[in-house]
Amino acid sequence: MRKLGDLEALVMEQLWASTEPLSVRQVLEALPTTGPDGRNRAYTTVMTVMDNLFHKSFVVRERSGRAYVYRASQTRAEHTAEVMEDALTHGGDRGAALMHFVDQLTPEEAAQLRALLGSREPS
Amino acid sequence: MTTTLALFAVAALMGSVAGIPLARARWAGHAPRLAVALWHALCFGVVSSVVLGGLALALPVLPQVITGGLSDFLARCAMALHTELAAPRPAFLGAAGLLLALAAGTRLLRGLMAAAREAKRGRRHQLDRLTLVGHLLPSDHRERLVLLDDARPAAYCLPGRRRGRATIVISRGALELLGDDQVDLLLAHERAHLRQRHHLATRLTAALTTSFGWVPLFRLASGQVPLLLEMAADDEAVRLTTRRHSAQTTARRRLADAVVNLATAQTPTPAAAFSAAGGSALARVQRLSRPPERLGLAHTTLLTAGVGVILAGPLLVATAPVLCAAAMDICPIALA
Repeated sequence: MRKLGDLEALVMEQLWASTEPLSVRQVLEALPTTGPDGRNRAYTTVMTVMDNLFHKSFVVRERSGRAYVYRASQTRAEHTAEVMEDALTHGGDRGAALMHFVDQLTPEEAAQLRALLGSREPS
Repeated sequence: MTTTLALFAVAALMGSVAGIPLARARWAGHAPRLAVALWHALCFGVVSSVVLGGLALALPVLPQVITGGLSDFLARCAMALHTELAAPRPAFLGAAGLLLALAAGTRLLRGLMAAAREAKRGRRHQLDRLTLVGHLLPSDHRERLVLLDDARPAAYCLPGRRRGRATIVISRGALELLGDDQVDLLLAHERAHLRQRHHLATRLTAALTTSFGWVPLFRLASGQVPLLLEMAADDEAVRLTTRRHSAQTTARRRLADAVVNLATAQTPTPAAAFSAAGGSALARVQRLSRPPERLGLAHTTLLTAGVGVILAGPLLVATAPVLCAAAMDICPIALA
């Protein structure tokens, strides 16, 4: 099982693993030295990725001397919970952005389904 | 004038009552995709009748509005069609017709574009975060399969413009709740949604309801179409995962159980009553618990023909005077 995607995920892994805010240089050094293409990762590539993460509000940054240091704005679990809540609460209404396997039930529908289940022999 | 009145009457009839028998039709569950086609045809029929009716009213005015080859052609044709088109009528009626056609068309287009933008934003929001926290699972299919490490059961798909970007998301909670065969059925169900582009069909009726919510047909359609698409995806899932016909009853039962398990494990929310396809789980489970029923050839042929008539009808009514005139050899239109 491997992580979905790419450098963004790898960078977030480093930030989630660290207790201290990290600079771009520190993240670059913590990453595996070569990318999937076998070449060395450039400082500017990692910097761009971290800048993107900042603009998506996934990381917060503050000045430390002449450079920025970054930390994750939410834990991994909080991110996961947010994806789930977004999908469960209003994902389906947004111009059919996503389609659920089952729709959310009202309490009455849930009761009806349980009654239906109770009336059937176990399969 | 007659053309316009006829088209407006068609639109009023279809928009107000045509959806009622279709919403109640038992055959819809036997042939869900054909039923969706019929809903879409009716919706298209209402819109095209209004737009064409407006244009027919405006036609005699158009040559004064547009100059060029088309207007010459129309002007000569209009002279020939004196009974229908050159009947005296105030110019403001023509202007009103043109405005109506334009307004209806623009409103629908804007609604569709807004829905598409909204969907894109919603998917972006999901995919941005899934990239960080989702685990990519190995899959034999084109669609990406992503595991979300959350105890709450959930499974859904995110359509992508290109098929390689289409993504199915399943939570750890859902995997723990279902048997392996049920997970296969669930994934096949989601793949059916993605491959048959069900999100576009849903979006169309949803956009019509947003733009013209006072039309009863559109409201009925946006309630029925999502449910019918779930049924279509259920059928496809059973078909794709069972090789032998005799295994289908078991597969249907297992899929029904999967729906029940996932639906009852999720926390019920009063807000669900307002979602587009509220109540679809119950109908699906009841349907999957019965032996599969198919629509006979005669019914299928009849209904398919009905779809064709409804789609082509308004255009035929609108062009009837022109076609008659052309056939009478008065109009300078060459019917090759």
